[in-house]
Amino acid sequence: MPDIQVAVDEAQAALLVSKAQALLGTQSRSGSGSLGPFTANWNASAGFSGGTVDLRAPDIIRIANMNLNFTVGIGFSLDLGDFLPEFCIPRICIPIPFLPDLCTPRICINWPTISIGPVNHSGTVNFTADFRLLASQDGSDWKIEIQIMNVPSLSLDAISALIVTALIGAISLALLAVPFIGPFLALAAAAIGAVIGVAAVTGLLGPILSLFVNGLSFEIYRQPQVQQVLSNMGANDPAVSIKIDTLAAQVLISDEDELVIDADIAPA
Amino acid sequence: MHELDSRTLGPLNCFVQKVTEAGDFYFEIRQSSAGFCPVDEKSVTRVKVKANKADRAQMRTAGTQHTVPVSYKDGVFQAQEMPKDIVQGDAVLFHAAMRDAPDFAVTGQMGRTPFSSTELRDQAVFTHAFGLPGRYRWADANGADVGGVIVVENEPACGKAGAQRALERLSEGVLVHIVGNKVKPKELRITTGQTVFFAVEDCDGITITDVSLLGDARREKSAPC
Repeated sequence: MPDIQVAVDEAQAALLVSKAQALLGTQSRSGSGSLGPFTANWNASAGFSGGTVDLRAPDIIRIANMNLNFTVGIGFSLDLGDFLPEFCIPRICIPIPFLPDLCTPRICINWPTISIGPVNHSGTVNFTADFRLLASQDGSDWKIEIQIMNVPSLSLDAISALIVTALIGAISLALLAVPFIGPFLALAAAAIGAVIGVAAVTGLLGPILSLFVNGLSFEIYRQPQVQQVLSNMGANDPAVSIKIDTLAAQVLISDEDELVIDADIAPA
Repeated sequence: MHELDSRTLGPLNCFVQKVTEAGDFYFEIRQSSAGFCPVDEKSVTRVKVKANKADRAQMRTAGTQHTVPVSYKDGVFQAQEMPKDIVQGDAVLFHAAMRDAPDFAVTGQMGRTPFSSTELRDQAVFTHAFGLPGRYRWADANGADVGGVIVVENEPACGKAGAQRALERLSEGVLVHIVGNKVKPKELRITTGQTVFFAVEDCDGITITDVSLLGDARREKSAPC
């Protein structure tokens, strides 16, 4: 039988989770990955909120429909020479007042490499995951965390479609600044759009967001190992402190599901 | 590369000089930033120009065009395929043979008359292909009271026929004739991709320069259009 036992119901457990999500705050990461045939640079930030808490024995907290709120910026370079045919200004001949026909040579140019983005997009992905209760010592504190048990599958196609639209818009804008692109503008946009589709964006976005979910943990409880329970009342009545020797967390199912924290204490 | 400035010859430009005097014709090709420096006698290419017995009027509208591609290797510009038989009244056209070479300038002398792509004087032509739409106001960077406007507009390239038509337009060159400080036409409308031929006569060494490349004083002084 533990020395101290604290129990909270699902509603109060949900409050603990909500506070823990806020405590975790927004995290940021950056890197590079494949966007179809391109290598894209990205930066992302993400935070968590919401969800329905379901306590499951012996030590599981299931959070259903939790929100992963993220912002991602994607940028990449694009060699137009990979998509467009060689372009040459043809030989041009015109009469000049002091010459007979003057003819310029055929002039061929290289299509440039253009930079796209970063194109930013903010969105929310819903997911459900099980978290395991873990109690551990952290320096002079005891803490209880809930740690994700497996990385859930994230449904990203709808979000990816929006990002594709934003990327195509950025590409079209960048193309307008390319000299001599006029006759090839539609061709270029179609050719590039064909390789940047929902699948390509999902292929990039999935691993990015998984980085935030993989190993996700929320700290729901923290207490100093040593605590003063009675203050100093005089020379003959010093302060009294206790030490938490062990801490454990579990889920008990009865008429009401409860998250239970057990502590064994000793004089400090 | 895409800026309108006759002081620098890039892949989209040609410089043409009609050879108006017989005798020694020599020129140096160098980085455009050195365009105003005196010619280095050790780096020039020389050709003898044969005299033409035709009168000035006949010579004006006659002549053979000689094309000189300019290559760039190991920091040095070189004239490829130098013409051997230039006759007074012929024209020599210089253009970049390589797409990625630096911009260059041509400076030289024919007989006793100097010529330079950086200062267009008499019976010289500068060509420029306009790759982007916009309103290009040009003036002389050396301060002469001469200038004009080129309005470049996109031609709708809808579908295959539209794209084909847009490509055909690229072979239609357009002339701007400058005599002294008279420009004809002063304002010209062309389609994106077309080439303008600036033909210069009787000028005291002018440039065809986008006013946005000039200092504030020159911008204000440029011919109003």
